[in-house]
Amino acid sequence: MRKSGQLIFRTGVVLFFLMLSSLLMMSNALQDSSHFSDFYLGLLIFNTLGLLVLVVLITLNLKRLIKQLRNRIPGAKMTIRMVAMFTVLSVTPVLVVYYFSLDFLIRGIDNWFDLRVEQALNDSLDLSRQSLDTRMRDLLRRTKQMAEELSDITDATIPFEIDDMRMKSGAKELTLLTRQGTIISSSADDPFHLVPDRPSETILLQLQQGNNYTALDTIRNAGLHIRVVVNVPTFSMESEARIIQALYPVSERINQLAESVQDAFIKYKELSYLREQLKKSFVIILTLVLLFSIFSTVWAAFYTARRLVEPVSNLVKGTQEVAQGNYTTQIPVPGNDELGFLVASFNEMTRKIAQAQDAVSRSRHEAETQQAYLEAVLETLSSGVLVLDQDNKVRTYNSCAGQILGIPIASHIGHSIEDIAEEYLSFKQFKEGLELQLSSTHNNWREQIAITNSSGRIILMCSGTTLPGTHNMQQGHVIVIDDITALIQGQRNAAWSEVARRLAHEIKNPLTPIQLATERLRHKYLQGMRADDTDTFDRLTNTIIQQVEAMKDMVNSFTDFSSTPEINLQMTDINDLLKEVIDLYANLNSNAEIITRLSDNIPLMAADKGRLRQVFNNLLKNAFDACDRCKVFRLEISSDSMTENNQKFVEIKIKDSGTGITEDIMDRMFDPYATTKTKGTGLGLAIVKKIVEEHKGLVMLVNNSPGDGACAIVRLPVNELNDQKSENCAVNRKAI
Amino acid sequence: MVFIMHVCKKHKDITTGRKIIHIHVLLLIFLFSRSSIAATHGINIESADGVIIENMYSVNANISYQLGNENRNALEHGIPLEFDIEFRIKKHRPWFWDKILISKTITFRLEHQPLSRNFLVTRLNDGDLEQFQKLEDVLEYIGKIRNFPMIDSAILEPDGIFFAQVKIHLKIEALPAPLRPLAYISSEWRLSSPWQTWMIKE
Repeated sequence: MRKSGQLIFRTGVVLFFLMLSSLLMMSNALQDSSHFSDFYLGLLIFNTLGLLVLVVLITLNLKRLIKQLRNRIPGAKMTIRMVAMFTVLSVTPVLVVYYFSLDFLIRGIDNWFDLRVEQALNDSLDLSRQSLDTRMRDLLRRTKQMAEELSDITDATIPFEIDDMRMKSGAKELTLLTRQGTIISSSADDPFHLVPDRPSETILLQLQQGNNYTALDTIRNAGLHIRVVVNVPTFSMESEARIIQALYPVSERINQLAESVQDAFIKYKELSYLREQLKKSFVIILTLVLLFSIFSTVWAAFYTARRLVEPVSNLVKGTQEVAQGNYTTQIPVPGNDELGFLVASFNEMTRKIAQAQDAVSRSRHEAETQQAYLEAVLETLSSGVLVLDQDNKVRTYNSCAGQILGIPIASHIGHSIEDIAEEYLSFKQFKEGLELQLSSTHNNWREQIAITNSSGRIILMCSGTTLPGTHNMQQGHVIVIDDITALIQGQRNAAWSEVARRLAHEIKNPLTPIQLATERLRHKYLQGMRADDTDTFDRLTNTIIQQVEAMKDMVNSFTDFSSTPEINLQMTDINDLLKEVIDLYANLNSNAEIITRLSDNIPLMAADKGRLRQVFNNLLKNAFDACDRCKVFRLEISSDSMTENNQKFVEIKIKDSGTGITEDIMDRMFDPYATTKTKGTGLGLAIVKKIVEEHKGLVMLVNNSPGDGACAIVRLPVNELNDQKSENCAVNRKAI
Repeated sequence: MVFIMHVCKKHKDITTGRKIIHIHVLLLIFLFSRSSIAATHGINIESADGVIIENMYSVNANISYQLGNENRNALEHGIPLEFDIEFRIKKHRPWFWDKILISKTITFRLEHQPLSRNFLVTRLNDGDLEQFQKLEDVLEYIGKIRNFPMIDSAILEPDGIFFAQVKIHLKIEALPAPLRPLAYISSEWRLSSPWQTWMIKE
């Protein structure tokens, strides 16, 4: 586009100079026809075509400008204004000059033709004619005399006389002819002039009619001469009629003067005749010059305006680009003037903005990297991290926090903890546990709280730190959440194991001597006692022996609880195992209504049959015990298969219709000796929990609707045999 | 008239009467205008033929010049007029356009001398100068071309078909520059005859 523009510009400049030369040549052709006269019409056509080309160029420019204006191209309006201004400024004086030039030209041409000049020229010509007429009359008379002299001379003697006669008369050439024009004899002053000048047929005809001929003739290569032709008188009928022609030279001076007068007269008459045509021609040339000037100016105005506006429109485009965010925009600098300085400043500004943008981008990238790094670190933490702002809105978190609290915390970013607490019970417990600390002014704090999530009741250790703020304003809190349920449970289990071990050691050992001693007492003294003492003795010793047995059972139970025998995994059908245990209890109470809902989709899973049987046995026993004194004895046992977090589970529910679990022991239900029953060791649920956890499972006890009993939920992961074994090995190694 | 009748017959079946009348009127106007122009000014070749003189085929022509008032006025105001008389000998070719064997031009320059009141005729080809007191004599003089040698008669083979042509026109390029634009558009100044053709016979 730029190259084609340059080409059009160069063509226009060449056309400009060609037209200028052409107009000069036309002007020259009009003033002096010898120069460029032959090309006059061609030049006229060329200039007209050149003007048409200029009109086309202007039209194209105008069309382009209108298109730019419609498309709201920057700089189009300014270009129009500048073109209009240039055009008005240049065309107005040209039009004024044109008007006055035309007026002066027409008046000037009219002034050439003064009546007095014309009269003077006519008078001059008449004077010349008069002068020559006198001379012609004289020469006619002289020629007539020669004709009379020749009338007596025969054709045969003429050649001897004619030279003498010519010299006497002063003629340049003297020729005797017949009336038909046949030359009889001739004499000339130039010996090399062999062919005499013959009178024309018209002259001969005039002579044949008896008239003489006297005229000023132009002889080829000899200038003006006076030609006199007269009839030679004849006196006899036999002799042929003859005529004599004499050519008399006109003196050099008169010749020059006559030629001069004649040329001036002809030139004047020619100009007078061409006056209107000259006017028209000059008007045409002047109009062509005017149109050429106007069109050239308008076209140059377009070019100049575009050149001037280009940097401004570039600036506008550049500004729009910058506004749209393209800070790499650079504009070509037009020159060293003020506009060039402005464009250079713009370029410098965009360069600096681009650099600043790069720096910001780098900083943002670094910040994002830092944040990603922080998030990665947070994600790797086993503790949950929750960051609250000063309005207690969640700002940052890690996934572990969501898992511990049992809520999808990612969808609650920016929500206040009050809003989240309304939606989730576990979070409500969490919030209520921390409310005091969050409102306190302590910078660091620790708080242990218990919440109930989908995994059951868990104990959390929360550590809080106040984030630094400005102007002594608290900006938020960082809360680190640790699930210490397993830790506390482990500690409890360890403590109870130690108690059991000590009980087994300290109690079981004295029990055997007591039992043996009691049995010896019975053996030695029972038979020798009186009859009334025998019953008492027998009853008392039996009581001692029974209580010792009971104490032995209790100690054995503690031993079982504290010991960790190796788990014996095999592929087990949970439904079969449940049915087996249910069958044991089916006939225990005839009033019991046992509802079994076992799913058909329960897969085989790696488990220790004996230990799981003990789990179900303990849970069913508890349920039976809970319903023992109830009016309605209903037991619902169900199994189901489910998938959670891509892990398959088997969930077993044992729901009774007993009195349920009171809140005060809910926390300690799986602890040893946590029981509401009058009988038993209080180790049943503790052992259940221990076995289930050995299978990587989960056990919960929840109340049904108030007064409608409790429900024991056991959730066991479905693992293949090898997987479970390897996991158990890992657990064992870790334990070691 | 034959042409008009032919046109009338041709269009009788396909055009309305009104259209035919329009065509007739236009044609009549055209013919009258042409004839009136021809009557006031123009150049006619009255006759043209050839003759073999001393083994040269030479041409003769009688040309009638009718100069208009504008032409005469210009001449009397000192503006010279030049006439070109072009002669051509062509050989006919059956399947091709005719071949021009030779082309010659005679140029006459007419001018008026106010001092002698004579008209000067210069034959620019050889510089021959003649002068006349009347313009009619001048026109008669330049209208008679006699024995103008054209081509060796031996070139004109007996079995070939040859044509000779003549045409006359006023040279507008020889007029003064200011007059030329007008001369190009004015019918009075565009004096020209059509080509007159005759067959060359043994």
